[in-house]
Amino acid sequence: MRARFGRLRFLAVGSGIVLLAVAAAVLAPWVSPHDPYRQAISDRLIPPVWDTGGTWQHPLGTDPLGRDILSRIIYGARVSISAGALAVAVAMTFGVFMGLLAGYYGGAMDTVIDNLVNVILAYPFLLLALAAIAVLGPSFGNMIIVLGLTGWPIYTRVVRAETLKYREREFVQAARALGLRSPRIIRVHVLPNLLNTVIVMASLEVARMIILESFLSFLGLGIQPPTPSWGGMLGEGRVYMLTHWWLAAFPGLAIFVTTLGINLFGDGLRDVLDPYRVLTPAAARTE
Amino acid sequence: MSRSRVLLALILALTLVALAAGPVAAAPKGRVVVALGSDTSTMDPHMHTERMGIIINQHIFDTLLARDTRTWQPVPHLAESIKSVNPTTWEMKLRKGVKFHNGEPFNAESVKFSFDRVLNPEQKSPIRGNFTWIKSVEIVDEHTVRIVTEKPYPAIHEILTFGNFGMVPPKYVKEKGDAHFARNPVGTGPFKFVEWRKGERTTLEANEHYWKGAPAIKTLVFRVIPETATQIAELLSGGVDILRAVPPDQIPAIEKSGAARVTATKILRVVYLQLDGDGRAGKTPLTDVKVRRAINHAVNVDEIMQKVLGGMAVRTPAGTNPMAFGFDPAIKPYAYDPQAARKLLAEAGFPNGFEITLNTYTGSIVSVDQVAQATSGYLDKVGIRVKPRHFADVGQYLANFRGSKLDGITMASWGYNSVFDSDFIYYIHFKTGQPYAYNTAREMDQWLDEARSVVDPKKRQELYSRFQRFIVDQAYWVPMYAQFTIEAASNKLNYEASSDEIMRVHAATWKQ
Amino acid sequence: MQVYILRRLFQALFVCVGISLITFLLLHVVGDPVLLLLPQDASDRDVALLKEKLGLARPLWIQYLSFLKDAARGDFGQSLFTQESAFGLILERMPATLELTLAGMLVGLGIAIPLGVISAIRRGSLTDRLCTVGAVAGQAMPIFWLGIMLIILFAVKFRVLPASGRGTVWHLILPAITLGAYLAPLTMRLTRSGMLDVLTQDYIRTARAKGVVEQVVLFKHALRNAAIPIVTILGVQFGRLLGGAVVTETVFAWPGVASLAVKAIRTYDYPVVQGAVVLLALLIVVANLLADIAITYLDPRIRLGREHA
Repeated sequence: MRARFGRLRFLAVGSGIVLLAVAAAVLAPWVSPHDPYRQAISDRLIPPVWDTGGTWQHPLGTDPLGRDILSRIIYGARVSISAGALAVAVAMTFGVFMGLLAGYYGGAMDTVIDNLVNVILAYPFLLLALAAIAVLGPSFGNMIIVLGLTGWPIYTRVVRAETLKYREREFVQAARALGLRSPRIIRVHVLPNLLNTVIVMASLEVARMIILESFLSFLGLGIQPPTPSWGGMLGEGRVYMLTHWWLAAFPGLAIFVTTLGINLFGDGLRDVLDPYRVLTPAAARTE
Repeated sequence: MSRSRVLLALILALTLVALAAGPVAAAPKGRVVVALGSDTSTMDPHMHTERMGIIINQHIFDTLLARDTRTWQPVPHLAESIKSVNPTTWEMKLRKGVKFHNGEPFNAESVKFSFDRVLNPEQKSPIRGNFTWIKSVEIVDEHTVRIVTEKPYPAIHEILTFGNFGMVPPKYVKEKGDAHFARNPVGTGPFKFVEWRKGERTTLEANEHYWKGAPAIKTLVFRVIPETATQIAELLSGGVDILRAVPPDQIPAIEKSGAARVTATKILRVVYLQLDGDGRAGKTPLTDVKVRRAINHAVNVDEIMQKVLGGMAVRTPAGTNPMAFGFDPAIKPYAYDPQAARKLLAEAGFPNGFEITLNTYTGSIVSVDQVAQATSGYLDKVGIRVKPRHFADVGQYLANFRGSKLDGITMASWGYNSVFDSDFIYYIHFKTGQPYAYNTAREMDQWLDEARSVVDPKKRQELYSRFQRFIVDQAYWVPMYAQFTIEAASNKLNYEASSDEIMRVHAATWKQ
Repeated sequence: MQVYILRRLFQALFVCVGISLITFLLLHVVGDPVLLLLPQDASDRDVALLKEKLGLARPLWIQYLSFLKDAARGDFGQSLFTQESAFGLILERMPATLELTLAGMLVGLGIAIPLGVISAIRRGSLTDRLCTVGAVAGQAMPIFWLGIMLIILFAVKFRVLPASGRGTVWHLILPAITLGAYLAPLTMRLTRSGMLDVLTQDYIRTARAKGVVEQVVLFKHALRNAAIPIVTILGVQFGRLLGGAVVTETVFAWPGVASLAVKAIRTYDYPVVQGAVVLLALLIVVANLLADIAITYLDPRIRLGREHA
C-alpha cells in the first residue's frame, strides 16, 4: 500500500516535470526573455545572475556569442523534446506494425521479422546511427529517421509477444470465425489491448532519445548550430566546464530533470495502466 | 646574385659563427608529453601531407634546409650551402659526418635517393607535385649534389624546408621495404624512433649523437587526445606538458593554473569568406559586386577578432598575410557599416535580403563554430539569411571545393603551404582554371602570371599591390584575419610556438 | 539442448550476414570515396582507374559477395588512408576496447546487482526508493558529461588519478566508472524486477512456509532463478556497453575500436568502418550466444529440451 502510494507520488512529480517541459516548449515564444538566436558578442560569457558579474538581463548567463542561455534552454525544449517524441513516433509506428505482423501471422513472416530484429539489436547502435548520419548529412530530419529506425525493435519484440497471447484469446478467435478480415481484427481487437504497454514503453523511450541526441551532438553529428538543442548546448559547453561552468551545467540540468521526469512519469504510468507487468529483459534489448 | 641568395649567404655565415661558439649540451634527461588532437597515418615523411605527421616527422628526420625561428627565412640544415651554377642547375654541399639512427652514413646518395623516391610516380607520394620542377638529381661526389630543373625555379629554398621532405636512409628503406619503414622510421633527426601505438602514442628517444648536439629532453611522447576538454585537464594535472590548438577562451584558465602557460604566435594561415563571384557552383546574388560589397560591410571582423579570438588575430584587408611577400599595408578593409550594407543590397534589388549557404568545415580554423555563427549573426542583421552547411572532414570539404560544389559563401582558410609569399595564396584561388578559383578575371590572370615570372621584388610587389586593390574593389572575398597558433606548455619547460605551425619540441629546454 | 544451441548458432550467423549487408549498403549506396582520395587535379581517367582498382566499378551485388567472401577470411580491405589492413588496424585496438568494456561491465554489475537484489528484498523501503530514484537519475545523465566531471574532479582538482589514456590500472578507473554508470541503472532495475518476479513464485512461498532460513531462500532459490533474466540482460547489455564505449573512448582518449570507428566514419574510410562495425557486432552476437548457453545451464526447462516462449 505504501509502495503504491510512493509510486503515485513519483507519477505526480514526473507529470509535473513533463508538463513544465512541454509548456516551455509550446510557450517558448511568449515565456522566453530573449530571441534565442540574437547574438551580442560584446555581452559574451556573462555568468548567471547570482555569480559575480551576473545580471538580471540574462538570469542564466550568456554563451560565447552572447546569446541568452535561459532563452536557448526554453527554445531547446522545443527542439529536444520534439526530436525525442518524433523519433519515438517513427520507431513506435514501425515497431508496432512489424510486431503485429510477426505475432498475428506467425510462420515465415515471424521468422523474417524476428531475425531482422536480431540484426538491429546486435548492431552497435551508436555506430550505426553515426555512420548513417555521416552519410546522409546531419540534420533534424535525418536524425529522427536514424534514431527511429534503430529504435523500433523493442516495440516489435513486446508487441509480437503480446499479439501471440491475444491471438489465441476467445474474442479474436470469435472474430475470425465470424469471417472478419485480418487487418480489421488486428485494428479492432488486438491493437487496443496493446496500447497501454506501448504507451508506457514509448514514454520511457522519449527520455532515452533525448539522451541519444546529446551523444550525437557530442560527436558532432547531432542537431547543427545555431539551432538550440540541449544536447548541442551541452556539447558546445563541455570545453568550458573548467572556466565557464554555466554553459554545460544548465543544458545538462535540463536534460537531467526532463528525462528524470519522463522516467518517473513512465514508471508511474505503468503502475496505473499495467500494474502486473514488470520490465522484462526483452524490453532491455536496446541501444 | 639575387637578393634571396645574398640573404642566404649572410645567414649561412652567421649560423656557422653561432655553431662554432655553440653551447655545450648537457645529457638529455626527463620526459615530455605532447598532446595531439589526432594521430598521423604513417611515419614515412614522404607519404602524407598531415600536420600531425609533419610535427612528428620533424623530430625524427632532418630536411635539407630549415627555417630560422626568428626571421622564418630558409637557413642551411643538412645542406651546408646551396648555390646556383646556372639558371637551371643548383649545387648543394652536404654536411659531413652525419649518420642515420641505424648507423648508415648521410651522403649524396641519401639525398638523391630521397628526391628520386618522391619523384618516382610508382611511389605515389602525395608531395610529388611540389617537386615536379626537378629534371634530375646528380651526385657530384660523396657530399655534393646537383639539382637540375626544367625551368629557372626561384622558390627552391622555400621548398627544401618543406616539412615532409625529410632525408631517408636508402639502404634501410630498400632492404626493409616501404611498409616496414612506415611503421619503423629511421632518420638523422634529434630523436630516435622507439614505438608507435597507433591512435594512442608515439614514443621517441633523444639522439645523443645528433649533429647539432643532443636535445635536452630524453624521452618525447606524442599522445593522441581527441577531446579538447581532456587535453586541458591533462595539462593542468601534469599528465601532458605541451598542447596545441588551445581555444582562446581557455587561455585565462591555463595562465591562472600555475602549472602551465600559453605561448602564441602569428602564423601564415588566413581566414576569409569566399564568395562565389563567378557563380561556379550555381548562380546566386553573389555574382553582383554590390551584393559582395554589402557583405563586406556587414561582417564586423574586428569584433570577432577582439571578442571571439581574444585579440589573437591580425587583420588581413586583402586576404594575404602581412608576413607574406606581396602584402600591401596601404590597403584598407571595408568598414563595418550595416546601414551601407542594407543600402547596397537594396540597390542590387534585394531590399529584403536573401537566403544563402554558408559552408564551414572542421579543421585549421580556430573556434570555427563560434566564428561561423557570429558571421551568420552579422549577415542576419542586414537581411541575409544563412543556411549552414558543415563538413566534419577536411578531405570531404576540399573535394567539394575542387568539385565546384561550394555554392554561396564559404568560410575558408589557407596556410600557404608554409611558403611566405602571396603567390601561394592568390594563384590557386584567382587564376582561371585553378582548382580553388571561384573568382576570375582576365586582368588578374595577367598580373598573377607576370608576378610568377619576374624576379625583381619591387616589380612583383607592384603587381601584387595592383592585384590586391582590384580584389578589394571587386569584393571577391570578405578577407578576415590571419590566425595565431595558440599552444600551451608546462612551466617546467622553455618552449615557444612556431610561426610555421611546426612544433619544435627538440628545441625545448628544461627550466633552471 | 544441442538443438537449441545449434538453432541459436544459426541465428547468429544470419545476424552477422544481415549486419554486413546493412553496413555495406549504407557505405556504398550513398558515399563516393573515390573523389575524396584523389589529388585535386585528377582527371576523369584517374577516377575511373581508381574505381577499377578498388573494385567499385562492378555491380553492387558482386561487390557485396566479394566483400562477404573476403570478410569471412578476415580481410576487410586496406584502410584508404594508411594503406594498411583494416582488419589489422582493428585487431590492434581490440584489446583496449575489451579491457574497457569488461571493466565497465564489472563496475556496472558490481553496483547494479547487489542494489537490485536489496531493493527487491526490501521492496517499498527507503532503500528501495532511493535506489529507484538513483537509477532513474543515472539513466538521465549523458555519460560524456559525467566523464568530463570525473576528470575535472579526480585528475585536475584532487590529482589522484590520471585524466586520460591507457596504461596502468589507475588509468582504467575513471573510464570504467563512466561506462559502468551507463550500464548500472537499467541493469539494477532489471535485476530488481527479475528478483521480484521470482520472489512471488510459489516455490519460494513454499520454501518459506516450510521454515527454510530466509538467507537460504534468497540466495539458493531466488537469486539462482533471478540469475536467468540477469544473464540474458548481460548478453544484451554488451551491445549497449559498446555504444557507451564510443563516447567513453573519445572522452578519455582511450585507444579502442569504437573511437577508431568514429574517426573512420568522419573520414569515410569505409574499409575500416565496415571492419569495425562487423567485428563489434560479432562481439555482441558472441556475447549473446554465451549468455544463451549459460542460460541453458541455469534453466532446467531448456536443459531438458523444452524451450521457454
